[in-house]
Amino acid sequence: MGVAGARGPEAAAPAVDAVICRCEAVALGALVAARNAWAIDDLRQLKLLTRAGMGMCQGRVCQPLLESLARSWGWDPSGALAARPPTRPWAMGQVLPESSEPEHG
Amino acid sequence: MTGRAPQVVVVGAGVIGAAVTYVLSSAGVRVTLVDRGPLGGGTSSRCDGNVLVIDKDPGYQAEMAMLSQNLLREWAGDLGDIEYRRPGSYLALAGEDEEEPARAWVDAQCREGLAFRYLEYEETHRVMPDLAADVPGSVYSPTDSTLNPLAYVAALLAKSRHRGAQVRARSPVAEIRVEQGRAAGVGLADGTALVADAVVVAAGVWTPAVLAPLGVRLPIRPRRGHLVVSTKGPRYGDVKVMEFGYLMAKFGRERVVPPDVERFGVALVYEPTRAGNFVLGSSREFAGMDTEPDPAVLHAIVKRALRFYPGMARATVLRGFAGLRPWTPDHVPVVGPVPGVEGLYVAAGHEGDGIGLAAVTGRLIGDFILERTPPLPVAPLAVGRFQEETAEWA
Amino acid sequence: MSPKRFDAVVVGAGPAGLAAAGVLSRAGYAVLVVDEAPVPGGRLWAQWHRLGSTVWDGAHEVDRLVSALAPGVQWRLSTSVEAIAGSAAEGFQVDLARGGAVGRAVLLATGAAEVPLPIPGWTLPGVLAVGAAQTLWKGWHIPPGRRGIIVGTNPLGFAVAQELLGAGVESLAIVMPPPSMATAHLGSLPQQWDRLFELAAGAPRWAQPVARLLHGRAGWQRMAMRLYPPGGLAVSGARLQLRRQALAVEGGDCVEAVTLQSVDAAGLPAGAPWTEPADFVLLAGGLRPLGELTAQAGVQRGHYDGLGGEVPLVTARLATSRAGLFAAGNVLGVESARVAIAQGRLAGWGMVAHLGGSVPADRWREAEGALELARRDAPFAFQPGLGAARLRHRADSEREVGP
Repeated sequence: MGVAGARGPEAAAPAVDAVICRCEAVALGALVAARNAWAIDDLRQLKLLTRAGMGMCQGRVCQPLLESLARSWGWDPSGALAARPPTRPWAMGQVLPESSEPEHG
Repeated sequence: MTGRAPQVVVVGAGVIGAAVTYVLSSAGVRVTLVDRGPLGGGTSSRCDGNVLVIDKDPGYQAEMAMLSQNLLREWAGDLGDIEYRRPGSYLALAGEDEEEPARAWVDAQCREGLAFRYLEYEETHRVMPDLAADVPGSVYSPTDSTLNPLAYVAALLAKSRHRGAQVRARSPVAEIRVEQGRAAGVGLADGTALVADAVVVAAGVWTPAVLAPLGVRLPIRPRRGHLVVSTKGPRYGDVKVMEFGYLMAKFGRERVVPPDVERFGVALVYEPTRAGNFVLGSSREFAGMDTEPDPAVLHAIVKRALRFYPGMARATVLRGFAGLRPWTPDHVPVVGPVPGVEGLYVAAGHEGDGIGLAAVTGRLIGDFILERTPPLPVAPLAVGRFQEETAEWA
Repeated sequence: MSPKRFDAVVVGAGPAGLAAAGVLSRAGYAVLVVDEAPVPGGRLWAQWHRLGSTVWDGAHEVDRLVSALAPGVQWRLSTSVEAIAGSAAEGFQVDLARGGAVGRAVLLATGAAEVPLPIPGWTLPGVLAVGAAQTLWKGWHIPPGRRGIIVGTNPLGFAVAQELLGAGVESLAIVMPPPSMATAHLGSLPQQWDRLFELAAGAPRWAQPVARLLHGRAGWQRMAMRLYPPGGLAVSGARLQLRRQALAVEGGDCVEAVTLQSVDAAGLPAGAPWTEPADFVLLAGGLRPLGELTAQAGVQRGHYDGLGGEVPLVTARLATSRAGLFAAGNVLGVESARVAIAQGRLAGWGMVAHLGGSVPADRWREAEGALELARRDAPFAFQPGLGAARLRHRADSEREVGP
């Protein structure tokens, strides 16, 4: 669409196309749809069924957004997005002895 | 059973309870499913999505698994998108000493009418080019399938609701009510009484605790299994691969492996997921009810995977998680009526096969309650078969 | 390859971690400092602002803290901690990429992370979190663009706006975020305005123009918002447009414009949306304690909105519920860097005591006094309700973890 000029009234509708989880490209609308389709009533279920918060950053970015969403639906989000080891991704090659470690490209 | 539609309470909203609810509600039974926590919040959301025959003992167990696979194939059309697919599965051999047992395994399965194949070196490495060059061969089972476990549970429950089932999460059971030797219903912790003609306990590793107040003892124990998830990135083939040694670990047979692999019961499972990650397993330990992942086990699983996939050294671990598999002494689930309490049933103890065996388990419980003829003998699954072990474990 | 053993492992080389490492190393303990960044200092590098008549220069603070370390402190920079296991008795196993380390005591000083504002289009190149823009400018002298819009009225946003206007940015407007279920934590627009007034009113020494503008006007926010000019007020060259909300970021491959809409004094949309050209957008969604490691390490925690989220419960000397594990800095709640430094010193002494060292009474008094002073002199509260949340955190901690 053009950059200048007024947009229609639909622009004021709730921003369902706003991405909540960038890593897995999950928009607000997808979370709402999943909640309705599966009758989800728990943040951990929502995460597992939509993959929101399961991407490369492990929810570091979107966790507060998902928790807010959960609270606005009356769910208690505490513990739902529990941090699991590893707290940061690690290269599988590091379990090998140093000498046999392959070069990383 | 009287003329009116029977009323059943199912305790436990994991994959087994969900499958039982699906079968019963599809048959017009009025079902109420209760769980103390969120739906699918226990083992069914802490596991992989394998629906396997390849690792079942030839004979009864393989037949049961096949039945379940076939049922699931029928259900898949009804359930919508549960990431169901049938890529087949492979068992890779760790050394030449496994060749003979592997060939014998294939022969035994083929004699039972299953389409297993032994793949020689060439074909093995053509199908799985990322495997280590010293893997001498593999076993192939073409019917093995896979799905997203929690999506499976959610879809079973969504369909059940459409068919009239009541599903109550976060509703802990205070007591199973028995009147004059018959299951009469369930009392919930919030004081609600649910009246029923039959009660099915499908509470996985929590089943013994649910049944204990009735004096029913079952030797189901939590066996912890870890899984590792990779980041999205390079994958190491599109097929699901386990190691033949998996069977050795599973049935406690002798296996020569490094100490941490032995200690944590580690055996390779490689499963590419639809999302673009891959899952690595597996481990088996008795560690109580603790599901906090142990970094040492994650390391051991990765080390074992690198034995089979050296190129995986460039892959990245994103997270690990652990679930509690409901273990039984004979590795066969407990599915059937509880002797002495009419209308009380157990469907539990599937260890790592709950996802795979949920369909046939649902079918069997349906057959018991609706007095239909089950599709396979039920004696090996009987609740009462553990008399001696019960004394030992109680 | 057995892991190296240390008396103390400090996770996070920001103000809190460096201060603690200083105390521990000068007391003669073997210290390992781990940080994901290639250089120590953390967010200090991005900080430069006036504090009353003096200047807070973060880079200078890094110098001071690093030069205060005793020789022999070991570093693992550009290194992430994957997990913490074990106990004080057997030593905490700190898993690091390429091997691990064992510490008899561990300090969790992992700081805070920015909270995004998920408006449609926020994933376009050219949209940055305000803190990231600050780091880009302060660390590499890269301005985010020429014509920008800051979404959100978080204090960090005002500070960054000021900095950027002296950095080649020609025009900058600050607007409100659109309401969303995923940002319910921000509250409604009137609630956000109230907080802005509260922030201004509660910060007599806040040197920023917003404070001067709004100071003393709490209590008649609604009136103020009715009278608030639709085009906004000029604040150090930026337009503070409290009666506008950003609905979406527009653009093909990068930010080209922002769709805006006016709101009335009750915060409800008024009139048709329009777009204004922009080549960058900064999201000021606030900060939250980065608690993955505290959660993974299994220390007892509580949720406090005023502290920015989930934080460990700690004793007055910053020991967590697990003996030998300490916490300091923003991981305990979003406060100023000076508070983090004071907390780091206090935790450092706490760890010295845990390791069997003797801590003279005046050391405790000094460290506790410095923390109190840093809090009293804080230029502003990052979160509304900080004081009340701190009291509640203290009371909960005392009950659950000890005095």
